[in-house]
Formats: sequence, structure tokens, C-alpha cells
Amino acid sequence: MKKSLILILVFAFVLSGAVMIAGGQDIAQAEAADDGKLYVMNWGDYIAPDTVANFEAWYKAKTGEDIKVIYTTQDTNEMMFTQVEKSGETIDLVCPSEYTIEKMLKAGMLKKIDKAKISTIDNVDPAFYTKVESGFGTLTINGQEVNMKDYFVPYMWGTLGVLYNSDVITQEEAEGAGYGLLWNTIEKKELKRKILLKDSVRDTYAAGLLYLKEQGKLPEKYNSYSVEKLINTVDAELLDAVEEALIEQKKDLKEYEVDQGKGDMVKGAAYVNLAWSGDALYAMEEALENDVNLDFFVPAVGGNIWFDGWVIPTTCQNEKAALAFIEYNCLPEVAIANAIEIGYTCGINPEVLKANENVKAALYEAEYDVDEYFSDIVRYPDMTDVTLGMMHDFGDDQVAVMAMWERVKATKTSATLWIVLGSVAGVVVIGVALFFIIKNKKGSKGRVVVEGPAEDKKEDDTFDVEV
Amino acid sequence: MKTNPLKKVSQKIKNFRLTRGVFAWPYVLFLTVFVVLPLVIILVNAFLADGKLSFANFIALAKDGASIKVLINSIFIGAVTTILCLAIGYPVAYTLANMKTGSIIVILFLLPMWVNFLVRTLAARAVFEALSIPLGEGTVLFGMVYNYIPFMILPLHTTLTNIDKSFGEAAADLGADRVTVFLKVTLPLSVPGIISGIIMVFIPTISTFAISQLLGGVHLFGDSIHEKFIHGLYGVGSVMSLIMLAFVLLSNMLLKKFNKGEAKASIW
Repeated sequence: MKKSLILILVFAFVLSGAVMIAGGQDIAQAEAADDGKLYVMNWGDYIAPDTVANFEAWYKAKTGEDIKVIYTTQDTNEMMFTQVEKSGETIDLVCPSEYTIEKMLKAGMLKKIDKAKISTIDNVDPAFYTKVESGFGTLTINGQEVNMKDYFVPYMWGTLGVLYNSDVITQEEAEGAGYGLLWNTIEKKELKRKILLKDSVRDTYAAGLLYLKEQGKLPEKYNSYSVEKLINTVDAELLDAVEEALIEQKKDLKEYEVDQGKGDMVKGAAYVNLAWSGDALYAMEEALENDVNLDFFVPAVGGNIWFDGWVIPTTCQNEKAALAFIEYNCLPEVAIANAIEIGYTCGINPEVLKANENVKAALYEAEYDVDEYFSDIVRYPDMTDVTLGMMHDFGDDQVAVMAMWERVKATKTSATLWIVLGSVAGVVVIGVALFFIIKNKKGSKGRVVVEGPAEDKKEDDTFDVEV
Repeated sequence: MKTNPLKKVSQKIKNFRLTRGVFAWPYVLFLTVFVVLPLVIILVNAFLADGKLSFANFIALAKDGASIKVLINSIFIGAVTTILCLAIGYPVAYTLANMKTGSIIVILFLLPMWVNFLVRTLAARAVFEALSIPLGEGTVLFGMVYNYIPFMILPLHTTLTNIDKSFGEAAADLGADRVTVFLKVTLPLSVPGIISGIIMVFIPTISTFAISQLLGGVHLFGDSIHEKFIHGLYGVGSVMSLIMLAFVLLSNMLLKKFNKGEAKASIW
């Protein structure tokens, strides 16, 4: 009786705790955020190592106040979203991708960025805002019309395309095949099981759709869709078509890579991968050290253009420092330092960068040719190109797309499994049979010789026990 | 029953003695915070959709179909791994149990266990790549068997070494040949070891996630749950975790029941 009472009490206590945590009432939130702190959340390996420390010094020199940046990283947009949603008061500034910015905006989680307080805001490439405006337009949130461009400042951007080994595949073959290269439409023997795809549902869905468009296999009514509209359409017909295409692709697939893809390409362990331009540029440089030549292109049919931008959650406790952090990262020399470090393209207007002497010096020091750096089509694609579409938040359709992706991944070739199992079982049976046959033979032959000493030993043992 | 609860508490404090049970409290506390509490969170999350209590997550899971397929797939791979571990592990354990230096060799089998499983798996991946063996289901099975076989050999070895040799000798005296001795004496007596080996291997394998991803991209139930959580679908992910948990408990119970019956019989 008493015991069960205690159990119930413990259970009730635990349950209340769980409900509190599940409901987002984090106890840590009760702590008021300190003025001298700035909580920044960004992607892993997405900033130059000294930027944060330099910002602290710069902030002190500018305002005379001390600031301590608490810098945390996340691996996925979804984690960033959840973190902001659940423990918002300990995040002042976060850097999600465009579709997550849209999702946060729709959920009412973002504060308008007071751009008048950012002196370096004019350094940002205005083409971004044009692109975002044409792609996302105005959103209606709680009956109010809002413009997404007022809520973010771009940090890094790039495209999604095909990275390939140019020692194995010629440029004509690659660019002729387009997304088909991932499906090995050129039917090159060397590519068998050497093709990678990102284990990222949004990117593979887009690649699947664009492949179908390229091959003319899209259902009739979607042919008039623009790239941007196509990659943001989720319906049963398209899901089925993409599922089929992705399952077909598995015959030449090495694996769905999470983060080992860059390494495999650099080592020459894989020849084709679906990659982001920044990763591709980084891999191309690394590969040269291994005498491997890689190249990257966005197929002619079109592609995805993306960006990550700084946003300020409504729960921000230190807006002044958050704006200062954005301002600092929009300084040409800071932006280029970050860009050189991580290989991605920063959101600062290339004309502003080119005109800055510090930028030139930094590029020179990193062994880049200034003109080459800015004219590289991989690094600076034409943002106004209509065949480059931005991805939007899938909303409730996300679940359906994920289910499609899981069905693709779960489809397996059972035959190999049965062969493995059957052969192992066979070997074991034969092994066991042989074991007994040999043992029996040995036993009958050497009965007297073997058993004599063995019995002696037994007697010794029993003797020991008795003592 | 009529005593004042407050009095009861004060009495308790007065009667406090540093008994052996007291030393278990830190662990009980640990268990509550890190095992019971997360389980309750999962339970709450499973029934929570858009901040309301509902069965929406269960319905969503039943509808998408992919997860059920993945679950069946994982059970299948788990079963294959277990069978392979048993088929490979039993002869090893049997041989070692009959060897004088057996317990030293068992340590050799345990050695890889002291290396973190992730390091082992990545090393296996590098070896496959160096030998240019394509990654796939076969390599995943290899990785799983490689990682879990010590858990099969250990209980088997313990049970087999603890079997009184005189049972076998008695059977041999009564005219049984070696095969009969093995089938009628050794094998039945080692059933508890087999059962605990199966529990130690099968249950973790059905929830494996990193090995399957690193060694050939086979998508298992553990991977599926992981994916649900990183995409912020906590509700559905929690329901799947509950299914997994129910499954683990069920198989544990079944095996225990089976084991009990055998243990009673083996007393004779």
C-alpha cells in the first residue's frame, strides 16, 4: 500500500516535469538574459575561427561595452526551428535557410530587422532582395501583409548542382547528361556504384523533379511550370513519379551520404555527387592535393538557389548586440574572411568586395586570383537566372515527402540477403557435421591413449574438492 | 492507517539508518531522471499534436506506410543478425568452453568491445573501401554481427563452462555417442545461455541506427526514428519509439517465459 502510494507520487512528479518540458516551459528560461551576452546560433564550420573573438573586440571599441558571444551550432534547419521555438529566450540571432525563415515568419517567430541601425547594410547584394521578393512575394500573417526581405540579412548563398570527377567523366559528357549523370544515363561502366546522393529529402526531391523535367518524363500538366514552381509543388502524382525515379537510381548508387560525401569525392572513392556549390568548391580545392580533379555544374534545365540568412527571433533579449553582429558580418573584410574559410559565397555585393583593398589582400594571401575568384560561375552564378529557383517551406506536405523518401530508402534487394544467409547456414551445417565426424573418428582411434590421462586428471580434481 | 502523514514522515526521518538500501538511492534517482522521465516525455509527446491531446500522430504513422515497412525490414535484419551471431558464436563458445585456455581467448573476443563502436564501424568501412567491396546489405550485416557477436559469445561461454562435465560423462557411460551427448545434454543445458544471448543481440539490433547508415545505407527503424526527430516530427517519432519499446518489452517477456519453462526442465 505504502509502496504503491510512493510510486504514484513519483510518477505524478515525473509526469508534471515531463509536461513542463514538453510544453516548452523550460526552467532555464526563468533566468533573465544578461545584457552583456549575445546568443548566436549558426551551422557547424560556418564561420572563420576568429570572427567571434574579433567581433567582441570590435563591439567594445565601438560601444565601450563588454559583450560575450555564446556561439552554438546546429546541423539541420529543423533543429534550429525547434530550438528557437522551445528555448527562444536564449537565442538572440540565428542563421537558418530561406525556407525555414519563411516557416519561422509564418509561425510569428521573427522580429523585423531594423536595417536603419545597420550601417553596413548597403554592402549586401541587392539582387538577393529582388530574388526573394519575386520568389516569396508578400506573405499574409495574422491578417498583416509582410515582406520577407524585411526579416533577414543574407549570410551565405549558393546553388545545388552536380559534382563530378573530371578524370573519369569529360565535361561534355557531364553537361550533356545534366541531372542524368546522377542516374548514369550515359551508361558509363566506371560509374556503377560510384554515384552518391545526399541523404536530404528536400534536395533529392528537387533533383528527382528536375531529372524528370530534363528527361521529358514529367506528367504533361507540369511542363509549363517554372523551375521555382516545380520544385515547390508536392502532390501525389509528382511524389509517385519522383519515388519511381529515385528507386530506379539505386542500381548505380553507392550510398545516400550524410557527411562523408565530400571525403569520398576527394579521395576518388565516388565519382558523382549531388552537392551544394560551397561544398563543391571546397572539395575541388582539397581534391587537387590528392591529384583528383573535380568539377561542378548546375544542369541547363535549372536548379535550386539557396541562402542562409541572419534572423532575429521575437524572443531576442539583446537586439542591440544582435544588430551589431549582423553589421560586423557585413563588413567586406569580415565577410570575405568567413567565405574564404568555409568555401561558400558570402552575401556581400561582389562590386563592394572587389573595390576593397583589404579584401584583395586577404584573397591574395589565400592564394586566389581576385578576378578569377569573382568571375567563377560556380561561386557567383547569375542570380537573376529564372531557371534557378528558391525552395519554399513545404508546410504540412513535408510529412508526405518524408514518407516518400523513406519508402525509397527502405526498398531493398532482398535476394542478396537470402544468399548471404543461406550460404552462411550451409557453411555452419557443414562445419558442425565435419566437427563431429572428425571428433568421433579421433575418439574411437585413440580411446585408450586419450582417456587414460584424462581420467587420472579427473581423480585429482575430485581429490582437491574433498580436501 | 489513521496516523498523521506528517508524523509518519518525521518518524521515518528519526528511524533513518544507513542501510545497504540507502546506497541504491543515487542510482534510483539517476534512473528516474534519465530513464523514467524521458520515457514519460515520449509518452506525452506521442499523444500531443498541435498542443492538444489526440491520436493524430498514430493516424499519421499508420497512413504513411513507409514506417511499417521499415519496421518489418528491421525485424528481419535483426533476426538475421541474431541467427548469424548464434550460428557463429555457438561453435566458438562450445570450443572455448572445452579448452583450458578458453577464458583467455574469450578476452580476445572481448577486446574489440573496448574500442568505441563508432570507431570500429568507421574502420570496417575503411577496410571495405580499401578492398573495394561495395557497401550494401551484406556489409551492414557484417557490421552488425561484428559489433554484437561478443554479446552472444559471452553468455554462451559462461553457461557452457558452468555445465557439469559429469552429465556428459554419465551420458557417454550409458552408451550415448558424442552427437547424442551434445544434442541431449549439452544443448538443452545451454538454453539459458542461448536465450540471454538472443536477448542481448536481437533487442539492440532492431533499434540500431548508425551502423546501418555508415555501412551501406540500409534504412532501419532506428534510422527512421532518428530522421523523424531531426526533422522536428516529435509526435510521430515518439509514437515510433513507443512501438519500438513495446516490441522490446514483448520480445523480452516472451523469451523470459520460454526460458523459465526450459530452466525448470533442466533441473532434472
